[in-house]
Amino acid sequence: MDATAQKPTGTPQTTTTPERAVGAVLVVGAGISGMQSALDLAEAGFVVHLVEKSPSIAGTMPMLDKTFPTNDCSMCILSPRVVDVGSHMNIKIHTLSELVALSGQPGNFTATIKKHPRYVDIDLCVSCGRCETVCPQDVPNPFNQGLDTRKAIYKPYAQAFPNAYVIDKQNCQECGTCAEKCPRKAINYDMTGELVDIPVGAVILAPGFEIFDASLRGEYGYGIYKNVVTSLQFERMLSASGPHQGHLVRPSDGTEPRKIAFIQCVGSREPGKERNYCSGVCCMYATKEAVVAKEHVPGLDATIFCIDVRAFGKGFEQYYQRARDEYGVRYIKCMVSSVKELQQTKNLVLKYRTPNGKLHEEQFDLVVLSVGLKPPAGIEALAQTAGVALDENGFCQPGPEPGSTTRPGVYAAGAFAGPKDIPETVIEASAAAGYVSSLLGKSRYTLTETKEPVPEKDVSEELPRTGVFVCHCGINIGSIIDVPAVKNYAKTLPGVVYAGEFTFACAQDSLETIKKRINSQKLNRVVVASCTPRTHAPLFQNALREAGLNPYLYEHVNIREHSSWVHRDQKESATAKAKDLVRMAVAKARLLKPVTVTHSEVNRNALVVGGGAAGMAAAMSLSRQGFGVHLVEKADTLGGRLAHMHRTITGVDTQKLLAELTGQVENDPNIHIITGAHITDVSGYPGNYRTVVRTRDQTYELVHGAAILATGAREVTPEGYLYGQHPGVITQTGLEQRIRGGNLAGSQNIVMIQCAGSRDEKRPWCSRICCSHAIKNALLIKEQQPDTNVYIFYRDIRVYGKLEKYYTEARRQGVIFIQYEPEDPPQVIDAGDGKLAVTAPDPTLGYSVTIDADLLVLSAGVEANTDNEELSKLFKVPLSAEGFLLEAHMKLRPVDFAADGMYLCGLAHAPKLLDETLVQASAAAMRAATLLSKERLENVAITAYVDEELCIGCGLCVKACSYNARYLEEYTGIARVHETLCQGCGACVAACPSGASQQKGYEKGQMLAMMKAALL
Amino acid sequence: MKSYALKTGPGDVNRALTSFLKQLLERGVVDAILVPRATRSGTSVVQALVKDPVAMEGALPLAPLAMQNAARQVSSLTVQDPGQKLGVVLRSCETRALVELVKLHQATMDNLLIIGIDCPGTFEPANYKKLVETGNFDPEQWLTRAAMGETAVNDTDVRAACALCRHVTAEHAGIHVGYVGYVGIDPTKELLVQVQDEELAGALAELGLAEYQVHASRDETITRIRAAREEEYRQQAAALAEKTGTLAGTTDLLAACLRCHNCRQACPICFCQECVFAGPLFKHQPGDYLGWAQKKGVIKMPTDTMLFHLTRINHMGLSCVGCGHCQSACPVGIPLTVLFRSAGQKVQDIFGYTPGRDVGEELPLATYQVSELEPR
Amino acid sequence: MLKKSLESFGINKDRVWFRFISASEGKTFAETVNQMVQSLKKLGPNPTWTAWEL
Repeated sequence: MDATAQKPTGTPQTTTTPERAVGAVLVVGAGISGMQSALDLAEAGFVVHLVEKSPSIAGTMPMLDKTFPTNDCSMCILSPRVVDVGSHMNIKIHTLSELVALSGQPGNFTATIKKHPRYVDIDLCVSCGRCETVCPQDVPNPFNQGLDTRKAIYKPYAQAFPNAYVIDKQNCQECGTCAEKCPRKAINYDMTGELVDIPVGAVILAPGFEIFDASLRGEYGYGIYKNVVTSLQFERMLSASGPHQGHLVRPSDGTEPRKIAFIQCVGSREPGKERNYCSGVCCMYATKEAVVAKEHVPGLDATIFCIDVRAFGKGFEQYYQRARDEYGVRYIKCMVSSVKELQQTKNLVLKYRTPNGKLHEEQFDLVVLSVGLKPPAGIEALAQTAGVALDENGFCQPGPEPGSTTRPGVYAAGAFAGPKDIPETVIEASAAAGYVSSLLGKSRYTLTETKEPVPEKDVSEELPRTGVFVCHCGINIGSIIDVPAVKNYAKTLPGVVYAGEFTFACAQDSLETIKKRINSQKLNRVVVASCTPRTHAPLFQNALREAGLNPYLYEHVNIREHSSWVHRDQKESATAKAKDLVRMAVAKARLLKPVTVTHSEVNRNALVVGGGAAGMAAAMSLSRQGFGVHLVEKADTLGGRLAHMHRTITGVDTQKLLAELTGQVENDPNIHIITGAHITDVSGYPGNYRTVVRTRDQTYELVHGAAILATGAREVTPEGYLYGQHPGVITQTGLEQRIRGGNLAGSQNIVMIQCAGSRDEKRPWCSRICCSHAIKNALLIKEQQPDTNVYIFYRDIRVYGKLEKYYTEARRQGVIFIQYEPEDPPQVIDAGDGKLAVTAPDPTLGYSVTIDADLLVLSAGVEANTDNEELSKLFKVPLSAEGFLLEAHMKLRPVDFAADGMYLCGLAHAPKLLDETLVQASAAAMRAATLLSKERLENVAITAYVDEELCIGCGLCVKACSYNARYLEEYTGIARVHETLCQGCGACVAACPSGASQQKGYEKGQMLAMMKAALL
Repeated sequence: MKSYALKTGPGDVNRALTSFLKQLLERGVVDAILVPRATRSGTSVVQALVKDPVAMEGALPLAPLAMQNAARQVSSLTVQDPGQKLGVVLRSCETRALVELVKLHQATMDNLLIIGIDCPGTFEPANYKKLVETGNFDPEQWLTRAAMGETAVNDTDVRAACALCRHVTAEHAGIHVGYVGYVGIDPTKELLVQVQDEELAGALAELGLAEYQVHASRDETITRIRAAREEEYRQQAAALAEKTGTLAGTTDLLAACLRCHNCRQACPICFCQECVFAGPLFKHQPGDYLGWAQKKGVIKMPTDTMLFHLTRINHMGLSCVGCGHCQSACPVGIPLTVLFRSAGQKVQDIFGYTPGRDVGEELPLATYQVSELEPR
Repeated sequence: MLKKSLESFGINKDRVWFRFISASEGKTFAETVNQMVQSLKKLGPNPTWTAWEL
């Protein structure tokens, strides 16, 4: 192996932006990665063609039950994002489609897309589900990993987008029943595919991954023993939307398991089998699944068999500790040699050797195989079409820049670039969008569409004239609720001048009818009683808009989920309830007022705080995308921690990178650098911040639209192990300097101790980078002085993804790894003569070993800067318990703060490696660009407002607000709302005792009217 | 803390204290003083803001009458920085309410010198008036007896809330004037003046006050009064709880409520510009009333009386200091003191919160702790 | 807090339910609503419906 075979420079080369580039981008793969890239680019002024092989977007994440480390429900956090993608005017979604050819140059490609037939017309299908109920053909359901069946005509899952059925032609008998029963005549067996040529400026490949085929590991009995399942099957078993509605039962007999084993690294970390990578997610998902399973079945015994516990991400180590200490998940560090089924009970006997060498046999009710991630089937063909090279494992071969491929203008993101978890995928996706946005910056807004708004009628002087439309939803509502009766009842309600009914209110022709009625009946309030407002209210609101009515003169009633579905067996009561709900909505609708969306202007400069690798890379990306940057650094020179580094594990020469980055930043006319700077005040709102920066002799007031915090972190100063007392005890950074200076001569034995400042009571987090640093330095030592012995005392070796191969290489080169337990750490004594003696128990040998060390290197870890607290107060952004900056959402918003306009990257976010920092910097820059590229920002419409006559300025609303959107006006003391920051959550309204705080569209009078109507 | 004796003479208690306050004004320790002052007829005592030292004449700082909770007046004076140092003579229920108002941005204590006074209780205004008019009230004699916890004059005792109040001394006072518990020492001979900080102590030393050793009997008496009143409160709260244990009982208790909003007007915590119940939200359509009457057969007018009190306990219960001015203001005699104090106590207990204890203590609903998510 | 206040006013606190149910836990939601309905049925009609002097 050659660690330096690919010599990445670490930073994007100065790419000249093509003057006549196409302002459209092709994104292949619509999983979480592709969706993120698409959204970012579409928000920043590009048209995106999102090409997805399967019938629906969103990828694998909808299959997951909950996500670590927050235990958020996967679907709940994902579906708003799916709605955003699905409803974006400038994202063109091509499902059941493949890239079949790609010609041209960066800035000017022609992509040929093959669109396979769906056999269901998306425009006609309203997803009523009638077809599914009549289809005779059962097929194993891939969404539930074959644990149950679906029909040959199906929707992959309830929330799938596009919200339309699809025919699985391979399994379809073409009996014609569904086509006949379809009330919308949407089914056509004879649909054919087509080839489409699309001009695009750049391409992002995000085809994702598939799971390892567990049957290839025969010793575990997958596919033979019923109670051996994959982790993805187990995920479905836990899920409330899974085959057992979240009841955890064994496949063999439907009983609740009491004892579960997880076997790790199934299809990962197999040096001999071309799978010499770590999938990077399995330790955590197994931990999560064990915790969730324990919540499902109190008293459940869960054991995880693993080599190392690789809990390296932000908050992961703490999650693992909780799983082990609070939930009692058992971790056994060994590999299971065989799984055998007991004939009677179908229980499974696992044979394994514990670390002390003893052979054990233990029975379990259920075995979960933690299968790894591998490149998806067909990846070779895609790579060939796109003209990119793959690495030895079939993942994308990185190009010269992070995120790039071997073909210029084609970028890679997500698991295709190497196995990784969701937040890193999202970061990479935003970063890839950033590279594209840098390349195509000049073509922003050349192809995007905007809608001409219909002039709005003024209805303020009119009496309420309400129109009520009741939907049958095929048979979903109509077969239970007496829709005509509800419609006739609605006509009797005060203010109602028109009532109508539809088979499918959401169908295009129905929407046209609503628009016509608004005009012909002079309606100024509209109520639709149908299904869920979550997906459908925007549709009807849009109809109002197009008919010239303010979209907030609309009230939605859900008589499907709230009535016909839940009261299936009580038709009369269901009808009565539907009437109640309609009466309430009509009562509220009478009082509705138009809500105007306000806008704020955007300053097109960004502030980047921190002039280290992250800050400089973010500044460069923003500049290339066409924005101005104020780069503010506390120290007198740029560089940050990069200045102390030598080489990365993948072989990047960091000093060269530093020189390049500094040179680029300093010579860039778009970048205004202030060093020796101290920020004293921050005010304003997204699009318009004002930051006061002081240097020794000057004060600047910077105006900027967005801010990126990239303030870095610092190396822990270790305690103990004779650090600071003996000259032979140094940190990894110190070692790196010695290696660079070639100062290792005379060191025959070099000992490293991992976690010397991480994963303890004082610093409970894992510093993520130390294992890679130690292995990198060990390899460098071996390169300089092959005869030097290197010993590494570790707790778990946490190299992940493609870095696994360096661990293998280090062992191959004779670096000796010795595991220790935190209760029994290595003991270090001064052995005289400048030498040290390091003693520790060796679990594999069973007795203590003592090593005479010339040099003891402590992997000291990373901790947050102490001035983060000040930063947090100035920018009003939160910190984690560990003192690092806290992002808006650990999974899906890893570079955003909760408040719009603020972003973060680099070590300030969490410990990470240099290339990860550079990628995150591009991601943060891209996220900032989605804001900076807008002419003006549309504020949330349903914001809170204050009745000034009623407000007395008690400040309760200010304390209740999570978005810094509330403040007390200095002179009058009265509370106010920052329209730009308010998210319309309503917390301030609840906090206000006098009714001075109100929320547009949810005013107290309106809500009270609903309640009165309910109690009538 | 330093203790001093303020010499008084027979018939001179209030005057001695008044001239002490006058000196504070003259010497510029404070720029203005808020102090109770007798009305012309002497049958009432109201809050007065004194700028001219001469006008300190006629102040009755120790009179057992509080027409309203003076925290409301302090709020009016300090909601924005008055730009002057203000002295305010307050009793415990007033300082505690003030602390709550500070948390609610309705007052500030930055430029404030609280001159706390011992308060064994105050009379209902009507009773005080009657006692003065009938010549049955000798202020000095009352102070001497009240100092031992005997507050009743003939058959007339202090307000219901005061008879259940455990707070004899005023919290958060920069200067505190006391007289309760002087066994053997007549409060008509000297008052106890206690000072918190050194600078003020220096200023007082210049006034010629002698340092003083506090008699142990003061603490003993206060403890005794407190215990007796706590017990009385417990009994009354238990008796009331029996009644409010059922909806019928509570309904009966509140049946006479006219929703005149006097209680909320008198409440020092109810700080809203206008009560939500006074606004348009609760002005229903005529048809609504008839609809409800149709449904139930008969409804009380005005409506929403129970909801009004429930809403009020939800809005101010956490900050209720138990001053009982709500009850004094009620024209129909609803026993609001115990109802609100005990209901308030229950919600305060959830958060381990004591209203009026500390300005630094956050209002429970303005903070969030993970532990609060635990089921209880 | 609300429960305590209601209790102080003689309104049965079991007529108000607070549960944290995530959007994914449809089943738990349904079960909880069913439990609530059962328990309310046991409690009988709310006396405020018949009290005239509220």
